[in-house]
Amino acid sequence: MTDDITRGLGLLADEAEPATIDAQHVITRARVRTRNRRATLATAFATVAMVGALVVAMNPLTQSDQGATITDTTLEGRLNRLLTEALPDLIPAGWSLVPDRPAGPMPDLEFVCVDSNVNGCSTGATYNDGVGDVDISISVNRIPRNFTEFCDPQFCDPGDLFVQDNLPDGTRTQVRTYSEKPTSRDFLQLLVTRPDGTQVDVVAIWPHDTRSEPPLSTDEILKFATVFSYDSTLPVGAPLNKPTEEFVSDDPKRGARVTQELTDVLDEVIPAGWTKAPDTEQPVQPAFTFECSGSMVGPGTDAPTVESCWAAVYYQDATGVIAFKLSVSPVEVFEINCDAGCAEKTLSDGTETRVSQEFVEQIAEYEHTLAATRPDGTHIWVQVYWKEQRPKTPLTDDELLKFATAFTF
Amino acid sequence: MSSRERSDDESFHTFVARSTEPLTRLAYLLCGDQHFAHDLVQTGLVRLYQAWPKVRDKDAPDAYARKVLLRCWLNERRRPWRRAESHSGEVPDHPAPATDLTGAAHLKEVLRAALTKLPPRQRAAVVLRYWSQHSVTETAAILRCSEGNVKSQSARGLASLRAALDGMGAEALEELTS
Repeated sequence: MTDDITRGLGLLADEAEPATIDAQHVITRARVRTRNRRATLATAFATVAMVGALVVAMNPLTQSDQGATITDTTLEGRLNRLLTEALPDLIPAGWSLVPDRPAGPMPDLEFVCVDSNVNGCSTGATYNDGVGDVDISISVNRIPRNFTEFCDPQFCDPGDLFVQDNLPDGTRTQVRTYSEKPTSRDFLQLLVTRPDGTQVDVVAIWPHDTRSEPPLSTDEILKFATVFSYDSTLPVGAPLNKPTEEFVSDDPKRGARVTQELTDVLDEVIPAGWTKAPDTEQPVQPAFTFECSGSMVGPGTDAPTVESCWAAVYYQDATGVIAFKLSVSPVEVFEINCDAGCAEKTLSDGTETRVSQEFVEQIAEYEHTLAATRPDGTHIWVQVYWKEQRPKTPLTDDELLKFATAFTF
Repeated sequence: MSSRERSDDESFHTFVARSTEPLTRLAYLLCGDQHFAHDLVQTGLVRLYQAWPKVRDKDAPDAYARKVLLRCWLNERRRPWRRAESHSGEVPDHPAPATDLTGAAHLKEVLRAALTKLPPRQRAAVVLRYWSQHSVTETAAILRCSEGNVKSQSARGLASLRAALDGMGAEALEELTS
């Protein structure tokens, strides 16, 4: 019997406050990362390898110092620049990048920083060296580590320690191999402590027992040791976990106003016998309350920031939970799927509406969605969704259409 | 932007709106930290978007998103600052357990502590099997390991949680099973 464990885990999961995710920001971020990766690769492979290797070989320990005269504005930018400059020498000839491996263990070849109590940046990519795929991961921060942190004997077989040495510039390095049993992966890892306190962790990962030698030689992985220097005076950049700047609304009371408008329309729409269900299995935020925030809308990193308001509302009837998600905004933030056809209607006040119904097989969920554009430009998006507990929509199209004229952004 | 790309973006918007909550809950169970969970969800969605044209029509994107999220977490576990955070006694974003906790609060603290002690793969196997209710086969696909491995990981994880729950008072256990 595992019901108690399931319920206990459910109680714990209930603590999770849902992340506030701006889908457009995610898309923008993903596109920027893809573009940067392509640019990095173009730079890397367009460079004449021999010339690059010769330059680096003549002065291998001063690569990061060469960049000191360049003004870096962010830590992320600094590390990306250092990586781009050194990349032709770091990646062995004949290796090719395996594109679009989002499910792989590494992000693309762009440093992404975490702005938390302990800042740090990481990057990585999957390459193919002709024998097989190799994940390369690089982390840069200021926290000293040792191999026992990475290779817990409980699930790791420690391998050979190849190098534990000081380089001429005072950089301390350790290189070793190990195998991670649960994931059936083998690792070649370099740990670096630079004289300025920079800590670097470089790891190559490949499927267990698929090659007789690590994909990088000791000399090859040691090339990473002197590339990076962490400048703690720089801001981290545009970390994924924080907006770049705080958005200031032109109407601080907008959330309260559209919340009242929501309450008014719900009173008209919700059938008798339904009860509010604030403690559903998937709580979103304080139910029946609109939260308004600014988010980037449109492609590119300089896309305008537009305010939009969002709410989730839960009701319970005799069949179970029936959920509403609502968006009120000056632009179309959420769109409607009309692949299977939408009922289109222009209301008497000029509001243009589209209504769709579909069963989303993958999640066994029914959705009844309204998208409306009011004459004043207010965009309204309402989705009612429920599980398979009922065969028909709990609201008619006409009932759903009452939301179309309820809000003014 | 082509109509195909526009269609992809529309479906991704819809997916994000629909899936952020369950993904956050999964991430929270895996990592035990609100902010870390939010980071994981965001990072996972960025990576998911890069594969969106491939997954939106072929497989259930929810399962794929969980897979991406899990990989993000397993690899984040390897990040030095994550390990430093877990080792340095940083203040967690949930209150420290009081000494007189009873019922569900006690249960959550016991489970939270027991989960924290599980190795990552065991923790993932337990969460996927007993919270997400994935089958052994599905869990093996998500974790990219054999079904036998899932069984052994989840059995060991379950045993650890059981051992922790055995130390609970009768009142909390009663609340748990009610």
